[in-house]
Amino acid sequence: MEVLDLEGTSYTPKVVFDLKNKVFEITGDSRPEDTHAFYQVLIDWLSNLDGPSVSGELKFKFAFDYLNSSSSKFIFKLISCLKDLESKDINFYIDWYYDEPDIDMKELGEEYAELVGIKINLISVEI
Amino acid sequence: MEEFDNQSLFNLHRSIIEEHMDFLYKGNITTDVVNILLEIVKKKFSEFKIDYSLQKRIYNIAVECLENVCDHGLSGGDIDSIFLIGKLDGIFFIGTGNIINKDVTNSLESSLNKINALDREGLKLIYKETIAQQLESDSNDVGLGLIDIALKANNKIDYQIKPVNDTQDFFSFQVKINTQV
Repeated sequence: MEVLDLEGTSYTPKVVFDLKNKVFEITGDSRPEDTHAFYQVLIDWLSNLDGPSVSGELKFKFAFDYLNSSSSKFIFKLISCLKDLESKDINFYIDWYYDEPDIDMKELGEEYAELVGIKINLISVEI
Repeated sequence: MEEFDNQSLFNLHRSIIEEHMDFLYKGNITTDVVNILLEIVKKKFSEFKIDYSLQKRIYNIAVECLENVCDHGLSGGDIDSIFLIGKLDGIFFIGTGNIINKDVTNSLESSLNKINALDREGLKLIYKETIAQQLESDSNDVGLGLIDIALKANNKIDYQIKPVNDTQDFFSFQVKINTQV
């Protein structure tokens, strides 16, 4: 599959989805002008992952500095797509990073885990 | 119309100080303007010397407030919007004012009253429900942003709707940001 590599801006996160090198990361601020258009690209990429072509375990890293409420809906959608990978026998895990004092970001990770019914590793980063 | 002289400027300056406003913007609030205003909000953090956690919450509220005006407010001509940030007795506040069409007034009022009637646990619950329920919705719904503001501020939302003409209202919105969550 083609590598998805989006440079981050002050309002969109940096995204790397690279199956060959097994790098899957979303980092930075998320408040895109068109949230749907931005996240649909990521959702489509994940939906096209084909079970037999994936070997080993995939690690997804979410490390947002900030995300707006509109983004939070689409990240729910994205994590729901990850949940669907289970039915394709793709092994993966999710790491959700948050700055240690940012309890809201930590709680959002916990809420996604509960809502989607998926394990999310919460990783505190000292600032 | 009276000429805007130096006395008017003095009065305006005094009035802004008396109202405890630290930053005030009047004009169209477009996406580009939102980005500029958010940069200014970030610069204010070092000026105010506030802790990281409160900075994050203020920034979050500023984004949601500005995006609400940008996405749902009317603009142009003589119906510019306003955005302000201030501090009174150690409590930060953020305010916006913008023109809305009367056809959205009822639903906006109903959303705000519903949010203001909930306690923190109720807000958390409705936030989660809204994220999950709107899985198929592609619209930038005003509801989730307002719930987020109430949660991050840990306070009620203060608002007022005043008629401007037969089809439009002026919607003023203010939230005080509690330093404790």
